[in-house]
Amino acid sequence: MSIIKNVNCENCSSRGKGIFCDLENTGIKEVSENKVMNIYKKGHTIFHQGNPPFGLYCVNSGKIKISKVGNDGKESIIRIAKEGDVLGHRSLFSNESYNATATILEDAAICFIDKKFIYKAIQTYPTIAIQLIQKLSREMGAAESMTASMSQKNVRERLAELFLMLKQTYGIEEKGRTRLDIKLTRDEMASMIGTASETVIRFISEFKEEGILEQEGKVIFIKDEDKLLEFANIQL
Amino acid sequence: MSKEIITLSEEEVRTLTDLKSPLLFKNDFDLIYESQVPNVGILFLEGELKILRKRKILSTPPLGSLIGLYHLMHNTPLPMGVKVCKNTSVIMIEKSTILEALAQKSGTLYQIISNL
Repeated sequence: MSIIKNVNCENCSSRGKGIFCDLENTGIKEVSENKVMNIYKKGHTIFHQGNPPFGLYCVNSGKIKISKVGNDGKESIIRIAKEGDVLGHRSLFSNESYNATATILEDAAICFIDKKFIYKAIQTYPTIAIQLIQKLSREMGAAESMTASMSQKNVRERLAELFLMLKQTYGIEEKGRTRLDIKLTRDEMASMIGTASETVIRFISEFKEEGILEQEGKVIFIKDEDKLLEFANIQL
Repeated sequence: MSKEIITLSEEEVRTLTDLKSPLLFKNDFDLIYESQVPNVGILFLEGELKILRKRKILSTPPLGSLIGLYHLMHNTPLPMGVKVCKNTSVIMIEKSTILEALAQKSGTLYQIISNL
């Protein structure tokens, strides 16, 4: 039986990005001893809406879709998590069931840290609590922006805003354009901005005609960010 | 005794349920995917669990089964998947709890671990 390659938290590529980034060596070693690392394949579920939480998930690599199914059975993508992100903290600390489902979009290495250890570690190392508060505050800000965007902006503006967000998070500069290092289907994009996939297809064609986007196979490139900002109705 | 799944006595189950609160799963969920290190050990209390291999149901363990403890302790992949069905209650035995029991060298969990 093989032993899964277990990356130590000390050497984790996400160390500077997570909630444990301010911990000194002793603390980080404790986290490392208590965590379980696994490789999840595309389509695997990390946690499921309605089920009880029993720990935190730290993303070492990969991309994870966080989505919520409404009463009408429709799925809305809340966000895409990536390396350095922590998942499941909101439900864990509110003692509520998960209000969303986390599904692997691209093969991911994820560490699980159990609830009991997290509570103990917060008492020993208050910097974890501070990092968590900062993280929750950022997420609340993002959620407020999303709510405002949904109610105040039209679909074209929301789609332009989505591409700007994807550029900021997954953009890689390449020869005067930005490659989006994430593959989302039109359905997934539609679900992220609350519209139909046909509408997304129509506006993406428009963005291409306007010289804002380019596409090679399934890869999307952002060519003109200024125009995208204009389309998103964002004043800098 | 299989290292993957062990059946606890009623007394052992009672002691562990006194120590930890059960969790109720309201939806089907793959608690452990095949060939993964279990995130937690699972003590099956009520409902239905399925043991999977190559996505096929291998067995449905009896109530009181404790799954994945050995593999969690040794950080080795479990050669099977574990799916929890809707309305199933389980108790999670976390890695930190195992490390604590090993350090204390006493208690029901330590006895169980020692017999693995």
